[in-house]
Amino acid sequence: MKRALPLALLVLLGAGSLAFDLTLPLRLPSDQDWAEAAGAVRAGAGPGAPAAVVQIWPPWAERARLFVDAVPVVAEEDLAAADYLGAQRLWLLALPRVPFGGLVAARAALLRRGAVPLGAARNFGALSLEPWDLRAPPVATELTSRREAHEVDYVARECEQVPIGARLERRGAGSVLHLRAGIIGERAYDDGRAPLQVRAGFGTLIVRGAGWQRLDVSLPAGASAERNFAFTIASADASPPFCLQAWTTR
Amino acid sequence: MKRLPLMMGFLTAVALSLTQADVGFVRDEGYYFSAAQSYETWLRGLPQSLAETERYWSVNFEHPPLAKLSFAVSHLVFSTWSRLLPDALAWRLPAFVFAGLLSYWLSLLALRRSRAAAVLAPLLFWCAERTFFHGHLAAFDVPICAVTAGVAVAWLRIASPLEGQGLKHSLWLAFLYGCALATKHNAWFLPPVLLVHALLLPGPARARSLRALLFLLLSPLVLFATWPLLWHDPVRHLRDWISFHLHHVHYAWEYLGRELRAPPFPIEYPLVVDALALPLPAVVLYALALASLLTDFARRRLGPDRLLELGLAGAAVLPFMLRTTPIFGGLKHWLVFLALLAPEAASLITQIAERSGLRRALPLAAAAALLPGIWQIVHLHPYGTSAYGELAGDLPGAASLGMQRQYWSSNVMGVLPWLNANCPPGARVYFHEVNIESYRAYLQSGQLRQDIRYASGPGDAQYAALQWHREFRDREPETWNAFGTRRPAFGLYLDETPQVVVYARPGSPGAP
Repeated sequence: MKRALPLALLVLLGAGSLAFDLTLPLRLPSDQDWAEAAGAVRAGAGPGAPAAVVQIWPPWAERARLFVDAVPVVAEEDLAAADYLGAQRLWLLALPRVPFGGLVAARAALLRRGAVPLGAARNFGALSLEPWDLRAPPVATELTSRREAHEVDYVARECEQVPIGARLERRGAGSVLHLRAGIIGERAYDDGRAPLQVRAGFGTLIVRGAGWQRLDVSLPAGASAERNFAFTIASADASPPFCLQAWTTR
Repeated sequence: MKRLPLMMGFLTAVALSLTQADVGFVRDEGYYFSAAQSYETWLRGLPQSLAETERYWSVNFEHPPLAKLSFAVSHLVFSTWSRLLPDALAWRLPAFVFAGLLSYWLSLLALRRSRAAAVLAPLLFWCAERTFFHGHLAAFDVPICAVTAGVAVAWLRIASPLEGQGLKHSLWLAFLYGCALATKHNAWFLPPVLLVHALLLPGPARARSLRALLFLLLSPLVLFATWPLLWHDPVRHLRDWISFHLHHVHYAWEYLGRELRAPPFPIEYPLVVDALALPLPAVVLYALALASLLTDFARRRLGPDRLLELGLAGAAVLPFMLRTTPIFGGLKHWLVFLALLAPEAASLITQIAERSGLRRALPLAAAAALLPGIWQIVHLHPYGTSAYGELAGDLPGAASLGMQRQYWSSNVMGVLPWLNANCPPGARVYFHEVNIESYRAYLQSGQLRQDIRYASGPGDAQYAALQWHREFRDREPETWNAFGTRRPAFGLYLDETPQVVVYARPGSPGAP
C-alpha cells in the first residue's frame, strides 16, 4: 500500500489540477450574465437616481465595458482611497468565485472609507452586483475638466492635462479643496526625475516619482462664497505629461 | 536504439506544423522575417552580392545567424523557388525541425534511463502551452534549447567508455557547439559547464573529455562560416554583438503586482514564473527532479549523465537569478532549464509507476502528469504567452496576482477576423504593440485584409487594437480621448482576462 502512495499522490495531483481547469468556466460569467447585470444597473440608473459608477472587481474584469452602458465603469485598484468624484452610489460588480479575487478585501476597503452597503448582493450567474452608498460629501465645484481621461499610477483618471510651468485659474465655492496630481504614463518612472510642485494658495502638493498624489485642505470660512483658485505647476523638468484634478466639496 | 527518439522528434515536428496556422507573429519574428528576407536576397544575388554583404547582413546584427539563415534558406527553397509553402510557413519550417531535434535529443538523454522515460521526457516538456507555443516560432529560444541538448548528448557520448572513442565524436561535438554559438548567446555558458563536468568525471573519462573540450576551439569556425557579417571587420561585429547583450535594455515586466523596470530583480523570479506558468503536475515533477539531482549530487551519487543535466539546467537558469540579467520574456530564456530536467522528471514518473507494483500504473501516472498540460494547450493555444497554470489559479488567478498578462503582441490574431469583417475599405488601425514587420507578415499571410492600413497611434486611427499590458495602460484612456468613447467594440478575453481590446470610432462599422 505504501509503495503505491507516490502514484496515488501523482494521480490526485493530476486529477485535482484537471478538475480545477475544467471547472474554471463555472466560476466565470457568460455573456448572458454580463448582459443581465448590465440590465440591472441600467434599471437603477433612471431619471432621479443618484449619480452612480460601476466599480469592477477584480480590477482586471474589464469585459464589463462591453456590456455596461448606463453608468461609467471604473477600475480603481484601491477602493478605500478612490475618489469616485461626483458619484453617490457605487455598484460593485464582481466575479466572486475567481481565484485570488479578493472580494472580501474589496468590501472591507469600501467599509473603511465609510461607504455603506444598500442591500444584499444580487447574483447573475458568476457575477455579483452590490449597491453601495458612498456617503461622499457633495461636490461644490469641479475646478478641472473631466472630459478626458489619463492614466496615472495604472488607473484611468478623469484629470486635466496641464503643461508644467502653467498657471491655472478657476472660480468656485466650497469648504474643502481636493487636489490630485501625477505624471501620466511611463514617464512617471523616469530615473532621477525632478520633483514637481502644485501650489494652490491654500496648500502645496509635492509630486515625487510615480503615483497619484493627494491633498485635501479646509478652506477659510465662507463655504457658500465663490472664490478664485489659482494653481501653479512648477518643476525643474517641464517635459513629462502632467495631470491635475481639483474640486471642492461643501 | 534510435528509432524511438527519431519517432518522438518526427511526431513533434508534425504536431507543431499542424498547429501553427493560428499562432500570431510575435514582435521578434517580425524582425527575424525581415532579416531572413535580407539574407535571402543576399543568397539569391551571389556571388555579386558578396560585395554588399555588410548591407544585407547588418539587419538584426545583434543575433548570430544560424536560425535566421535557416529561415531564409527554407523560404528560398519552399516559397521563392518551389512555391510549395506560403511565406510564413516557409520561414517557420526550420523551427519545427529544431523542435523535432529537441525531442530527439531529449529522448536520447532519457533513453539512458528507460524507454518509457524516452517517450515521457519530450512529452513532459511540450505538454504545456508556454513551451508548445514557443516551438512554433521562427525565433531562437527553442533552437538554442535543441542544440544545447544535442551538445549534451554528444558530450556524454565522449564521456562514455563504450562510445566515446574516435576523432569523429569530438568533431561532432565541436560542430554542434558551433551551431549553438551560431544560434544564440546562451551558448557562451556551455564550455564552463562542460569543463567542470569533465573535471568531476573519473580518470579515463576525464582525460577523454578534457581532450574533447579542446575541440571546442574549432567551434567558432561554424559561427564564422555561417555569419557573412564576420567575413568583413569581424572584431567590430563581434564586439557589437556581445556589447548589445551586455548592455541590453530592461523592459517593464509585471511580476506579483509589481512592475519590474530595473535591477535588482527578485532572485527567485525564474523559479516563481515557472511554478506559476506551467501545469501543476509538471511543476511538481520538475521540482522533484531538481531536488533529486541536487540531493544525489550532495551524496556523490550522481552519474555523468545526470551530473551534466544538472549542470546545464543550472547554467540555464542561474544567470536569471543574478538579479541584474534582463528578465523580460519570461521562461523562454531558460527553456533549457526545463528541457534538461525533463529526462529526470520523466524517469521519476516511471519509477513512481514501477514502485506501485500495480498493473497499468505507467499509463495512469503518465496521464496524471500530462493531461493538465494537454488541456492547457487545447484550451489556450495559440495564446501561449498568456498561459498560467493551476498554482496561479490559471489566467484569472494570475491576473489577480499581478503577473504579466501577455507579451510579443501575437494575441492580436484573436481580433483579426473581427477587423477583417468590420473595417471599411482602407481603414486605419492602431495595432499598438504589433510592429510594422509583424503587420506586414499578417498582410503577406492573408490573415489581415490587404487594404487595412497601419496607424501610428489612436489619433490617426479609425480602430484601435490595444494589447493589455500594465506598462501600457495609458494607451486605453488615450484611445478613449481620441475616439470619444469608452466602450470597446470587441475584444479577445481569455477566461475573462482582457488580452486585446478593440475600439472603433463611433459611427464606424462594428462600433457599439
